[in-house]
Amino acid sequence: MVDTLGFGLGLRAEHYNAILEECPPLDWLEIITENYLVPGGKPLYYLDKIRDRYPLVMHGVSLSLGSTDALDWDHLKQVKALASRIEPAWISDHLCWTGVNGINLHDLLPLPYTHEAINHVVAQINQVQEFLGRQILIENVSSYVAYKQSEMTEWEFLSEIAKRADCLILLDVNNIYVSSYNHKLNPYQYLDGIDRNRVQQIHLAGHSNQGDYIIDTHDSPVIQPVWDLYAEAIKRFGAVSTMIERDANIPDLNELINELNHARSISDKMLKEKSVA
Amino acid sequence: MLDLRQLQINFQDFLLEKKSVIENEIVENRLSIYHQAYYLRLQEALQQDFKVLTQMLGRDEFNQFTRNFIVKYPSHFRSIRWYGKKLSEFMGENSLPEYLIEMAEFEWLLTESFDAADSVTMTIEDIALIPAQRWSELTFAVHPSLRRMACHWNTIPVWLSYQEEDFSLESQRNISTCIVWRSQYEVQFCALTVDESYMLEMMINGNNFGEICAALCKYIDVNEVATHAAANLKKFISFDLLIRVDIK
Ligand SMILES: [Fe+2]
Repeated sequence: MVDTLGFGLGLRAEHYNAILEECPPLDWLEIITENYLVPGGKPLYYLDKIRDRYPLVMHGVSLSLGSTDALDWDHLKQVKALASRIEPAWISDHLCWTGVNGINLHDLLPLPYTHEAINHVVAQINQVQEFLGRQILIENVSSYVAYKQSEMTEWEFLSEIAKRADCLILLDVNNIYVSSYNHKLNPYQYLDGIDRNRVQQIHLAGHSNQGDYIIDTHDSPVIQPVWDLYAEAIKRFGAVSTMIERDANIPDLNELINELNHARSISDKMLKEKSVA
Repeated sequence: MLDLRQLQINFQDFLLEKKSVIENEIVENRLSIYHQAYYLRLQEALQQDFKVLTQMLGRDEFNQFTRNFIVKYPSHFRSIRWYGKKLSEFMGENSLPEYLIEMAEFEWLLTESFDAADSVTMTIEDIALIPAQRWSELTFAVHPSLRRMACHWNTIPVWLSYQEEDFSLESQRNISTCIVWRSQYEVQFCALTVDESYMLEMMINGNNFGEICAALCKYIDVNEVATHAAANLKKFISFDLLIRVDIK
């Protein structure tokens, strides 16, 4: 595991200029890998400039580790080339599938929590890690449906895969909250089931509550129950690199930095309490 | 129990509105969330790439039309950035008006140029150093972001007026060659004159300056052709269209 990077944000094009002009107090930034798998132009221009000033991590949305299609080696080559260009602290993607038969549905679709799926995903992650020459992080996704054929809980599924593939975990605390709400599970029990030694990064985000269910929209501030869950996560896992994802209704950078500072203060408080105890 | 592959095929078929029995595999049926999100996400990406086309069609009609596109052409791209590639082709298959298809083609070229490969560009000084007697042997390389398009409508003026939120300019027939390219990371576009377009095409095809001048005689008086071609060349250089000059 890499030491904690501190507190970061997802890099969004809306903030390129503010980041370069104001050099805001961010410890690091996370990029969406696919947005920079382009030949040239502004995206890579800004990326290189920002890389000169901040540590970066790469977060993918289309490795489709859970798909029963073969891995897309051409895509992986591009990921590897981008990694050698910007030397990210780490590379992550999601524990999900995004399509089969060559189709990309551009969504993070849930897997059934079965031994069959574990075997499959572990084999895929092994190939990816071998090809990239590094451990990757896998992230838990928000889900709206559960499969009848599941044989275990989501956290058991995630933990078993991480252990067997010897990969790290990007724990999305908001996704834990969303999925637990949607499937009537206890999010704190979820945290209990995660191996603290594998949690390299935490995601926080806002969502939209529809009453019966929650949709993971990343379009609003983090809500209090998610902050509470985050505090518990820090209590259990210690200092973990934390960032906020915002993908719609993107506000001024300063607003997000304030929100990030709230995460910082929660983390500081929990770590202090932990050290006293 | 369905195996993982069959489960995924069924789930995908459901999103693609094919016959599917995925419902039987699900505990709480909230599949409609995935279904709605699938179409919405791709439609939003297309709206971003085809902003003026969206306005010309009206958002409702654009969404109706792109929904059919999404059903017919599922994405095979890793990044949603490329998804609109076939939209103008699909418009043609569905006999949409030519001026709308041309707008779609133009807006797609803007996206292509935006993140095409980078290159240093050549300057006037690069050719100033070349002795006059060797000019006829010069060949040129164009910027990787350069795209050309034969326009049959006043697509660029309409696109520009939409940027000003002026929706009154009607589409009219107007034949020209348009180019789209990037200069200093900003996408540029313009219409070329007939001789400029011809000259640029010859440059792309690897013809040397002498051959270009000879060919331009069909548009320009033979006594003025060299001066005229040199002026075009300077214009292309000042536009950042050229990246290299070679002497062959
Ligand atoms: Fe996330």
